[in-house]
Amino acid sequence: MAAARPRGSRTRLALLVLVAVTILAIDERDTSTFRPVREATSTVLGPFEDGVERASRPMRQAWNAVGSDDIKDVRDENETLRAKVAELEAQGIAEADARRQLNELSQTLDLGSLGDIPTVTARVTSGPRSNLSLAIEVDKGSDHGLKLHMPVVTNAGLVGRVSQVAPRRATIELVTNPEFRVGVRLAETGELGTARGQGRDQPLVIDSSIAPGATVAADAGLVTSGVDRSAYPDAIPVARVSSTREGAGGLSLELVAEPLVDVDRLSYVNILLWEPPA
Amino acid sequence: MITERLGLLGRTALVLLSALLLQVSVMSDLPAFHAVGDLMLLMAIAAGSVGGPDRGATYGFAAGLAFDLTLDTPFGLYALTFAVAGYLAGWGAAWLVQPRWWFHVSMAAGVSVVGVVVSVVVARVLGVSFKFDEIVQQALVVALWNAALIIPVRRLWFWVFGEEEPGRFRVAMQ
Repeated sequence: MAAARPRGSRTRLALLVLVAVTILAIDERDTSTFRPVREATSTVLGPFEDGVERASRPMRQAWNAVGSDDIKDVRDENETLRAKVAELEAQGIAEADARRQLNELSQTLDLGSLGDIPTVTARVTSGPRSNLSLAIEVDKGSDHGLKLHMPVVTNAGLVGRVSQVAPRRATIELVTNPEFRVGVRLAETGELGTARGQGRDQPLVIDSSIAPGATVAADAGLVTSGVDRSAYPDAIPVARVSSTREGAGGLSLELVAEPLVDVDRLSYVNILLWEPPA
Repeated sequence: MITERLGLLGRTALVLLSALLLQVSVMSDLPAFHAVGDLMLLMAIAAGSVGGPDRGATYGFAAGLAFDLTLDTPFGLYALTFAVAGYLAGWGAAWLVQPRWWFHVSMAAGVSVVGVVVSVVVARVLGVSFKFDEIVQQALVVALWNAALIIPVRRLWFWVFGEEEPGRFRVAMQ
């Protein structure tokens, strides 16, 4: 190898950096500016992505099988889950009776419930596409009735919301995204708060109005608050409280909660065809 | 001349589009240590390593912009980062007349780390919340992937640029 003086025009780099910074500034000012371009790209690339995704599925499954916990851990987890299923079946009997009574009351009082909202089931086609992204892609879009900001759930609870829609694809902003906010209430006591994401594999943090000295039961459940003009319908399970701490300024209690849905292992999700009231 | 330019444009589009599809459909589903590889950054680094600083910056910008179109992160973030990464890779490679393979591998790893750090810092400046303690594992995963793939991807760029051997770098589109 021999040394040579590098040649290159800093002007071109400076020009490209300037263009990139300008684009960033426009996007920062109004994030919807480039959304149509992104949606159009998603529409055009969609069929090709599906093809590559299908062709590479065996390889990706093999990789993820190697990368996951070992077989013994999976067996242990299976045993634990079987025990949990038996426990839940027992609880289910009591809950079925309670649900029947609730339905009767709801019908009598003409109250809506989460079960009344139509849903679209979508397959997760890809996880976060870059290390800075906390969004997933699904194979349903505006052709199937999806619109921006619709809530996304699984049977376990809230996954996130629709952040971008193309005719046959959509992007879902995950509940763990630090930009994500959702109004919640403690299922048992009804106290309100705002949950925010903290990043990948991190718990949610809930800014509550609970007094600092108050006690919140460990494992207390959190559901969407559904208060007036809320961005989410009422009573979607969100997280379970794992600890509490004093909030900023010491005026209220801050809750730390684990999301009920493991967003790293999603295959299918349900999109609630529900839009917040104007 | 026009045919040459069109050929270059077509080959570039084909390579970048293929890399983009592989990134969003395959690479994004191959996590290791909670991080994924970055083929588009690799494209920028390889373009710079083969074509020099100017081509590195230009093709890095194009690769980044294409990646930005498929993400939910601030638009332009990767165009900026990859232009810088491509330029750095080209600048680094241009110091040597005929670098050996291990030089390209080391440089791909090094520039990848710089690329990840720059993207995180820019994202943070733009208000994207991000845990800094995740940078190390992400930089490591991206660097390992890119070091492993740099040699075949360099060959791809030789094909795109229509060049057979490294030689001296020519500045693109003069």
